[in-house]
Amino acid sequence: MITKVIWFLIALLGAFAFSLIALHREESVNSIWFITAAVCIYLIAYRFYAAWVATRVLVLDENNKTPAVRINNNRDFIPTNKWVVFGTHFAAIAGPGPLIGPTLAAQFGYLPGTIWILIGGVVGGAVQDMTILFFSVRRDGKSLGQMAKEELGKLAGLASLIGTFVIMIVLIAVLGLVVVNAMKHSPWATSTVAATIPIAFFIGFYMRFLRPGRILEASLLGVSLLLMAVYFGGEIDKSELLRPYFDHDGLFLAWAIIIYGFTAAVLPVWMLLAPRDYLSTFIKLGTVIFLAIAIAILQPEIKMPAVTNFIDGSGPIFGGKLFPFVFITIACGAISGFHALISSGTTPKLIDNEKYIPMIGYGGMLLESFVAIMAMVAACVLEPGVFFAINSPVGVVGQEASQAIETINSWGYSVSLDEMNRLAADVGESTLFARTGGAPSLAVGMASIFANAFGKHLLSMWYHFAIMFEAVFILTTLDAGTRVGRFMLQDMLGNVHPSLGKTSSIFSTIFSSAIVVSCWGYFLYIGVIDPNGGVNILWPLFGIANQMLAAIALCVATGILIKSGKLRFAWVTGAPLIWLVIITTTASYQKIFSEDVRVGFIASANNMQQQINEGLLDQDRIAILEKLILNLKIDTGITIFLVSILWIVLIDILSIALKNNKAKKVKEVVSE
Amino acid sequence: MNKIKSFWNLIKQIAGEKDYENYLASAKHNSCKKKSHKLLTKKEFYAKKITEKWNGINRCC
Repeated sequence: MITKVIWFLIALLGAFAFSLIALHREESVNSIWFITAAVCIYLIAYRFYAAWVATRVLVLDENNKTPAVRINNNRDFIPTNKWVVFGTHFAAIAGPGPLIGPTLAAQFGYLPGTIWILIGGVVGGAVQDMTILFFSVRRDGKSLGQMAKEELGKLAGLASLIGTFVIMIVLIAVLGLVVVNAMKHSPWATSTVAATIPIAFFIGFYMRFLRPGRILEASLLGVSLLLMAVYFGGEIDKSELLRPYFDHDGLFLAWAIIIYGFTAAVLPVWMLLAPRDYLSTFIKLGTVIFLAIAIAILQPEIKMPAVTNFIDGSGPIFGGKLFPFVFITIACGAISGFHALISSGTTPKLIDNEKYIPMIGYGGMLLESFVAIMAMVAACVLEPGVFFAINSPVGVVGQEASQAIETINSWGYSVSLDEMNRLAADVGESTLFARTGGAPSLAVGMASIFANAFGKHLLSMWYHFAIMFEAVFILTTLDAGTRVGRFMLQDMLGNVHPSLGKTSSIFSTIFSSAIVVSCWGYFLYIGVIDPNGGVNILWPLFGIANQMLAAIALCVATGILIKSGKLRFAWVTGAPLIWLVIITTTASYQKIFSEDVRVGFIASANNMQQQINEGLLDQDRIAILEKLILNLKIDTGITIFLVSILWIVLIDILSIALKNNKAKKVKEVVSE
Repeated sequence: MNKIKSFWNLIKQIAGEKDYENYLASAKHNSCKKKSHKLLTKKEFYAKKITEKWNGINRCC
C-alpha cells in the first residue's frame, strides 16, 4: 500500500512539473522543474513500462544462461558485474550528440525539444536499446547487422552496414566542424585542445610502459594535466609571443583536424585513442555529475521562451519547420540508431543475467536522455538574444557585429553589442558572434551555471573548461569513428582484393584510413567554407542517417517479435518505428525538394547557380559556390539513398508481418 | 567503512583495474582444463585488451 502511494506521489509530482514547463508562458520557468519532470517520468517509465516490456513482451528469464556465462572465453565473453556493464554501456552510448542536438533544437524554444527528449526517450530510444540488447543476448551476442541479415534478409544486413558507415562519416565531419567553430580565432581554446594530444600520448606511454593496468591513477594524472592545460591556455592567450601560434581561421583548423584524424587512425590504439578515451570518460562523467549538482544548487531560470517563432522554419541555426526537424535534430538523447550497435556489440557479451537487461539497456538510455535535458537547460538559461547571436551564422545575420545585433533584435530577441562584447571579454574570447555548432553556446551556458554555483570570477576558466570537455570527447569519437570506418572499409575492400582487407597490413591501414578521412574531411571542408555555417546541412543529414539506423534496428526488433508469435505486442517497437519512418521520410523529402533555399538541397543549389549566372560575383566567390553546389548534389544523393534503403527494409518487414506471423520461426539460444 | 571499500572496488572494476586479477583468477580456475596455457603478464594482458577493445564499435555519437 505504501509503495502504491509513493508511486502515485511520484506520478503526481511528475505531472505537475511537466504541466508547469508545458503550460508556462508569461514568466520564466525554473530549471528545477525540468529536472523534476524528467526524473519522475524516468522513474515511472522504468518501474512500469520497462518492467512490463521485460516480463510480458520479451519474457526475460533469469535462469537462462547468457552468452557471457555459457561461452566465458575470458576474451570478449566475460560475465561481469551489472554496475560495471552499466558503466561501460553508458560510457559507450553517451557521446557529444545528446549535448549538441538539444542545444541546436533550442532555436524552436525549450518545449518541443524537451517533450521529444522525454517521450522519445522512454517509448522509443530506451525500448530500442533494451529490445536489441535482449535479442542480441539471445543470439550469442550477434551484431545488429548479423541479426538484420538473419531475421530480415541480406539487404537489411547490408543496409545497416551502409547506414553505419554513412553515419560515421557525417558524424565525424559535423563533430569536427563543431570543434573547429569552437577553436576559430580562439588561442585559449585552440591551445587547450592542442594540449590534449601530448597529454594523451603521455598517459598512453605511462599506462603502457610505466604503470600498466593503473587506469584510475593514470586518468587522475591526465585529468590534472588537462586542468592545467585550461589554466595555461589563458596564459598563452595573454602572451604576445605565443598567442599568434594558436590564433587560426576555420580552414587552417579544419586541415589540422584532418591531419590529426588520419594520424590517430593509423597509430597504435594504446598511444592516443585509448588514453584519450580514458580521459574523456572521466571528464564526461565528472562534468555531467557536476552540472546536475550545479543545476540543483543554483536552480537557474530558463530565459528561452517555451516556443519561438522559428517553428515556422525560418530559424537561423538550421532551416526547417518544427515538424519534422526537431525530431531529426535531437537523435541522441531521444532515440539513436547508433545505440543499437552498442547494444548488440560489447554489452550483450558481458551481461551475466538476463534480469539486468532493463537496467542496462533501458536505464542506460534514460541516463543519456537526462544528459540531453541538462544540455537543453544549459542552452536555455542564456538570454535568447545571446543564444542566437552565438549560434547564427554570418550568412544569416551578416558579417558585421552591428548588423548581427540589428537582425537578432528584429526577430524580437533583445541583445546589444555591449552585452556581447562584455560576455566575450568575461569568457576570455575576442568575439562570440557566429560561433555556430552548439559547443560555444553550450559552454557559455554551462560556464554561467558553474560560475554562479561555484565562483563567478572564474567565468573564463569555466568556459574554456567546458570547451575542453566537449572537445576531448568529440575528438575521441572522431578517433574511434575513423578507426571503425577504416575496419568497415577494409572489410568491404577485402572482397575486392584480399590484401586490402588485412587489418595488420600497413599499406591497407594507410590506404583505407586515407579514404575514410578524405570522406569526412571533404564534408568538414565544405562545412567550413559554407557561409551558413555548415551545421545547417550536416546536422540534419546526420540526424536522418541516425534515425534511419534506429528504424532498421526497430524493424529487426519488430520482425523478431512477429516471427516469435507476438504480433499483439509488435506495437511496442512498431509504434516508434512508424514514427521514425514518418519523420525521416518527411525530413528527407523536404531536404531534397523544399523550395525554401535554407531547407531544400536542390533549391539551394539552383539559387547558387543563379547567383553565378548573374555574373556579379568575383572568381573566389564563384569557386566557393561551385564547391557548395557539388556538395548539395552529393547530399541529395546520400539522402535519396538512405530513404530508399529504409523503405526497402520496411517493405521487407511488412511482408514478414503478412506471411510469417505464425510463431516459432526465430532461433534463440535458451539454456536448460 | 566496508561500504566505502566495496564502492572503491566497484569503481576499480568499472575502470578496468581489476581485469588482470579477474583474468588470473579465471585462468587459475580453468588451469585443470588447459595445462599448456601460458599466462600473460600484466603488461601483455592490458596491451592485448586495449587492442581487442578498439577493434569494433564501442563509442557512440
